Amino acid sequence: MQENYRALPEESQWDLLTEHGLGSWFSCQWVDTADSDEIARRLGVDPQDGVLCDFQTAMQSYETSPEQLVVWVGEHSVVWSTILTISGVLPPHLIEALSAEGQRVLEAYFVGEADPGKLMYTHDSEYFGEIFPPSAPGGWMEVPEFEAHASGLELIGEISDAELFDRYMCMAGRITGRFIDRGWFASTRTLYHVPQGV
Amino acid sequence: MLTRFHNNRADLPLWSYEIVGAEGKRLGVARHGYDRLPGNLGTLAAPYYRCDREKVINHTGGCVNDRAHRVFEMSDSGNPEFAEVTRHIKSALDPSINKYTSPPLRPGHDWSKPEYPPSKIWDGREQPKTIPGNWNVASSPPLHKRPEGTSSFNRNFFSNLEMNIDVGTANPMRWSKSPSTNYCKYYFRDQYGKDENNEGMPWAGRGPRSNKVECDEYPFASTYQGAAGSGRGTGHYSIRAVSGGHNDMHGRVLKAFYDKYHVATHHAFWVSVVP
Repeated sequence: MQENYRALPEESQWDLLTEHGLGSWFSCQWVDTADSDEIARRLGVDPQDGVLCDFQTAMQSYETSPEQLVVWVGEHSVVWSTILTISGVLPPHLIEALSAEGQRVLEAYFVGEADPGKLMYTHDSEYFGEIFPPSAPGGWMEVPEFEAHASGLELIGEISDAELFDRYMCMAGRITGRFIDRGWFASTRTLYHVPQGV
Repeated sequence: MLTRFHNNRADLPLWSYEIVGAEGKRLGVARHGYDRLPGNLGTLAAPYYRCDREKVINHTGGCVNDRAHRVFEMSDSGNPEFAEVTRHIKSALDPSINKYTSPPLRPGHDWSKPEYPPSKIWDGREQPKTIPGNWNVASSPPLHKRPEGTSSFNRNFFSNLEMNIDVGTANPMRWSKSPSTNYCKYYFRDQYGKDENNEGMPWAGRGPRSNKVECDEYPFASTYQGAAGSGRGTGHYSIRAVSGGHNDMHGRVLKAFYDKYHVATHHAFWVSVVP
């Protein structure tokens, strides 16, 4: 999918996440580079230390511990890579490292019991704000450069947490040129254990 | 855990058989096996464990001691990764200082209209708050967990809402509803960047990702004791602007606590802040 401001996914993004066991918490980053090894280096790990595996294998480490950071890194679209957090929390200083030297980083984050969800944008080590559709066409957005990507996703009326997060995921898909789909879960990517204190 | 009797090791299945006495009193969990304990102790000696066959949070199966109190412990010094949240909870639980937490509790305020937050200007009428869940105070009632996915019922009393601020003063403001509209931006204005939108609401502006601020609340939004109270709002809660990184880590650790101890809907638990 090329960057398409009005595109919608073939399947509900939320339903896909829950179907794949990611409905109670989800943390994913998109970085606008196709170089996965560079992502590993910025996370402070040697690219050679990663293990190539499928999603099911990666999920065996799911939520090992909040203190143990495990990520599954690989291609997302032509120019974007994706980092799915399998366990732990990717700390802010690593987001800054990932976005250094002009890179763009999107972060989608959801914890069913503690956080209703958010989509954040950091560029060139600077945090720009949360990306969300406005409450009416043309309404205020914290990151106005993505106004065009919000078309048709406006937050009008009562919206559940699941629906709200689905719209965040739609915006991420529009910005990165690819929604989460079954092929995304069928990919082989690299699993890294990121050491503490990096 | 007592699951073995006369080598019938696998005789306790992954679900509960409640044993209820003639007077309706719960006696324990039935033992399923070929042998019985001697005399009338067969059921009374059974372990008080709740075994879940269905999915609880994201764990399927497994047993917990249903009569043990669940306590979520946070250390002021031992958990630096979410220390700002711990300090907030410590203040909220302390009745000698929690009248200084936000939003201020004053007589006569209508908490059922959260779009009109109480003024942040202190006028001396602020009252201590009755905030539950303190394990270290014997009389403190527990928190009770809400169903997963319903925490916005509480959050909508202080975030993602239209806010009419300082109504009746020389400088009233109206902030439109958005996912980033919340009470913390009013009560903790200095914690946010200098940039404001055209309604005067602070927004992220540009800065280090590490400086991101989020709005923390206690009692947790995932409990029935949160800002919504019984559904019409309550002033007996506290919010504070904290580091986004601390808030995220604390949320994940809280979720891990719910998972590990099988804290499901309506289950009681406490918090304990230790040095």
